[in-house]
Amino acid sequence: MKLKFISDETLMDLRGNYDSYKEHYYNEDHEWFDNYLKEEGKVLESNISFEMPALNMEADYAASDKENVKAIYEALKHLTVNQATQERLWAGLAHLQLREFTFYRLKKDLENKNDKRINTALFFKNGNKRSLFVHILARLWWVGYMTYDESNKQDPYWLTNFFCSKDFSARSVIFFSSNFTSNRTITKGILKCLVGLEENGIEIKRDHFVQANKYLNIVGGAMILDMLTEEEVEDMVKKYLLKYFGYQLDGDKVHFVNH
Amino acid sequence: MKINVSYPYPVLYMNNDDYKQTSFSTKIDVKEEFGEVKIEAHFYLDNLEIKRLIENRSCVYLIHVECSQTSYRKAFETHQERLEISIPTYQLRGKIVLHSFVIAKEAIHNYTNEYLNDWYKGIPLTFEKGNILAIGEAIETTLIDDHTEFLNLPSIVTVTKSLKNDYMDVDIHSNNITIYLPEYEYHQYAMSAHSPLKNTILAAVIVPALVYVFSKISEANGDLEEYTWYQVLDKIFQENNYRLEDVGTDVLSPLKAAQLVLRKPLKASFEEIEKLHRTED
Repeated sequence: MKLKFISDETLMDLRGNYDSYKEHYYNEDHEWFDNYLKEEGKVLESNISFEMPALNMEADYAASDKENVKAIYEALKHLTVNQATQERLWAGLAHLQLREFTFYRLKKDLENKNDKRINTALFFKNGNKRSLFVHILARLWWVGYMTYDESNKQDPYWLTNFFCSKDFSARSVIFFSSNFTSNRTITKGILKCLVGLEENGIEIKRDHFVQANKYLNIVGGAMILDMLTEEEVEDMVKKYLLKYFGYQLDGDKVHFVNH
Repeated sequence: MKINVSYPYPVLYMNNDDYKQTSFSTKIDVKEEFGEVKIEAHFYLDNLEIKRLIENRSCVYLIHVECSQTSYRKAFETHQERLEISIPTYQLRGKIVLHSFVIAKEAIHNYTNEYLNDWYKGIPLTFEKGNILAIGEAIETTLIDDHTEFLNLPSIVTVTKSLKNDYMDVDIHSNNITIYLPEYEYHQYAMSAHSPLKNTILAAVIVPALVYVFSKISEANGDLEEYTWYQVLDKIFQENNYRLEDVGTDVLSPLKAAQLVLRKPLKASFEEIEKLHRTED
């Protein structure tokens, strides 16, 4: 099977005329979408091969998001990053082959007629980069791409599993909206540090991600972070977080320091 | 990447005076060929002490490449005065920013340099790995998508049908500018390709839309720069010796900018009408 996407005109029609079409989304009206997309010129077929991924659609998003990051990235690992930044590809998939998933993932928003979220979930409404981590399908691929660790042959998704273990939506946006997390060496260094802390019994929360990024932002003002190795980034962030959160390193174990 | 105004250590940089009578500059050329972006950098460093640090591998010349849209960010190093870099085009999209530096590869203690400004005299100076010793030129360049016909205005403007609105509307928060026309107007417009009034219809639709677009540029504070349409317009302006940033200021009004880009649309339109009148006579 080949990957299908929608033409620019179709994209702009769906985006711009959302108010006229929104009832079809609320009603999960597959028939209307099928007929609409059947019209000539609405859909284009790419030369990119595509096997339909088996997506997890259980009620608990915390569990399914993690599985679906892996499923989407596995199915579309061969996309180039340039292709993976294209709105018409992701908006297309959300309306075409993966429409069932769209309705599943937006169930509450569709019920509550949350037009703002439905729009940012289906289209790139938050700027070119941020949208990649907000769109319900693009963010699955991009989180997979950014956290995939090819150096771990046994389990290349070990960092993905950690990253997606909770707070997926907010984590994705907060963590990847930094400029330096574009560098996968830096990203992996930070994640390895956080995994290490978690293995020592510390519950990783949103603030750990925020503080790690803040720290590197400041340090990055005086040095070129991109020269560092994964281990150096891991080490620097660890030292800082231990100090900031008042943890004490005892051998390999971390303890809380009583204030 | 943001370049700071000041650093907690001396930096050889054209925009500060940490050093005297010495300089670092970089000439960077970028071209696209056969699916690759080729970058060629020449480093001109006129400072013996820093040169010595590069020769003994304590420092390197470095080119930092960043493409925010595709999350591409990478540093390329060399000890030579010339560096060639090839990056597959599919890893990049839109705006690419390149910076040049001399960077410490390891900690450097007791640093001295005869060209340092007097205020550093007697102060012990240390550089850590990754610290910046010198900053050279930076350039920005834009890759235009293959499917976008370069410098062809209609390719960045799409006209489409609005089902709810009774008035024309324009969406600029996307890679293409989209003009929404009410249903009747849209159908008339769609049939205009072979009309003897083609240019007149274009002028009636595109001119006000572009005036609207240009009126938004000055108040957007750089928020629009990431979009393809902005980058294409930016190139068109540069090639015609104007600056897109000037649109909306006293230098260039939105109204004139729209007429420049469309190459005197009113004239084309009236010439068409005149011709039509003549045939009717």
